[in-house]
Amino acid sequence: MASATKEALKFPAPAPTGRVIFTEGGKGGLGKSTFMAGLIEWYQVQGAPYALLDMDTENKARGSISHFFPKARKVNMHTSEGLDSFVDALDEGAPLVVADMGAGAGAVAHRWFDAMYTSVKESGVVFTAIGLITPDPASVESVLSWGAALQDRVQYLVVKNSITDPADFSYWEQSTPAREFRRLLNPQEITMEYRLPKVEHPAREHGATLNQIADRSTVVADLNQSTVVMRAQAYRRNLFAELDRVKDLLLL
Amino acid sequence: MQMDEELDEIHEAVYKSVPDDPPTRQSKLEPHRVLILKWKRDGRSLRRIQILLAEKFDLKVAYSTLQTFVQSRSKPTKPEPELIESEPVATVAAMDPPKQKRSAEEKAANIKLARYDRSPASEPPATPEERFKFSPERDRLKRTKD
Repeated sequence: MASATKEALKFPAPAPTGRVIFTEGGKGGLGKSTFMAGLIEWYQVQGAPYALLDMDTENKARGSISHFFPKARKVNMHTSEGLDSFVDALDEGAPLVVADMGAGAGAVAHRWFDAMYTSVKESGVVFTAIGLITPDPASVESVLSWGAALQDRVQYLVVKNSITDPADFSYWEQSTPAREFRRLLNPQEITMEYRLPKVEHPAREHGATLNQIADRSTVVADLNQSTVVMRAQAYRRNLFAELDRVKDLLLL
Repeated sequence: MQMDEELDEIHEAVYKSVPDDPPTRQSKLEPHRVLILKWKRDGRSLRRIQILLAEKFDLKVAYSTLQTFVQSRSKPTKPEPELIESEPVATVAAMDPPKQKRSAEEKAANIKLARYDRSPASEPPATPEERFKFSPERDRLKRTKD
């Protein structure tokens, strides 16, 4: 029997062995950590094992994911091996690594991908980049910049964060560069609905997650009011429904 | 055999005895065909269209179904094949002794057959890998609001 060359044989891509889900750090104040807090609770409901990395070392106040999840591993991504922590966490056994990057993460992350991607990919790891956009065109530009740097080495999840009510995403929906991004890089999109200040502000102040508010497990009086609890339950329900739609980007 | 040759009695009887096939079920995407194709021409990805159909019309469709639908209804991008004057096929007229000059009817029949009997459509040439290009300095989004 004639032996087949490697070129003649075509094998389907092997199933991934791990997935790294990270927020595209760039412009600050877009709600990355708020979204990530909801994502982590979704993973908890799914029963999916994960490792949580807080790479937002510059945000020492109440804006980082550690504020919501104190056990998150803090990583200084501005060292030469900072993002190697992705691989380290996978090596330790977590099939999913969830990383919240800081506002200044772009250049460092792009260099890491250029240097490490091929090797990491060969080990079966896949990446999901989460870009948050708001009505601010700068948020869209940030997502597009990441796309230009990472191209198709990652899968993209765009989260439309309605920080105003109503929220106008026309820069994302109608601009030519954004259309090209969608055409070439095929992002999936979900929407995070507007949250009333009476829920959002004390939640951020006290590091309270939607689950904690919805389940009345906080000690903060403002967050135990019935209307606040009901709102949190609705926000959780709607966010989880959105995440369910894109679970192929979030799970193995 | 000519395309519109008369049936003999036996075949005619069979033809008349077979009822019409039931109408094929229309794709649930068909009512939205114009919109779907317009979105595609606007540059929206199939995945995005899939999401929009679910959001706007509560219409859930598999990605592969949508892909097939769009491919089958998109206008052909390759040019019409050149008319080919093939060798005369065995028609009633061709039973006559071959003539040096083909009649207009024969030419039309050959062209008709050439259109019908196309060679399998070749795959469009592979496009070079496209990269997404964006520079915030060069491609800054035009601000329309204060």
